[in-house]
Amino acid sequence: MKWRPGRSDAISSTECTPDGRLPDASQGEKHVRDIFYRMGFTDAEIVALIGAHGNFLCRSNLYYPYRPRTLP
Amino acid sequence: MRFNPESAHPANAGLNIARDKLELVKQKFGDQLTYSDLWSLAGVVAVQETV
Repeated sequence: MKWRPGRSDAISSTECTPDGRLPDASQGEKHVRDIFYRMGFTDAEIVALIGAHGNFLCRSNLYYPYRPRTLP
Repeated sequence: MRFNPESAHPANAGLNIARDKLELVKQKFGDQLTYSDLWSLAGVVAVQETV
């Protein structure tokens, strides 16, 4: 996997982005594309990111604690 | 992620365990890479080692 160095660190918490700015799926694909195109994502990369997160949430004990853990 | 309120946000619960472990690496090599580089590299290595 490719990895490149050169990222810089924040100096303090004032540089952290504020809460409450996550994408809102109920606003439709234009909203999602507005957010992720701005960061340089392609459509395929957006789908991969959303799919991976959805996959995790389906398996997560935190979000779905009563889901059967073993195959029937 | 090192700073509050992000580090204490419930969605980030448990990440402090990884940050604390990586802090040992940062103390050893800290002048050669930033926290941002270290954490992103750790993520890449984790994926490579588990796939």
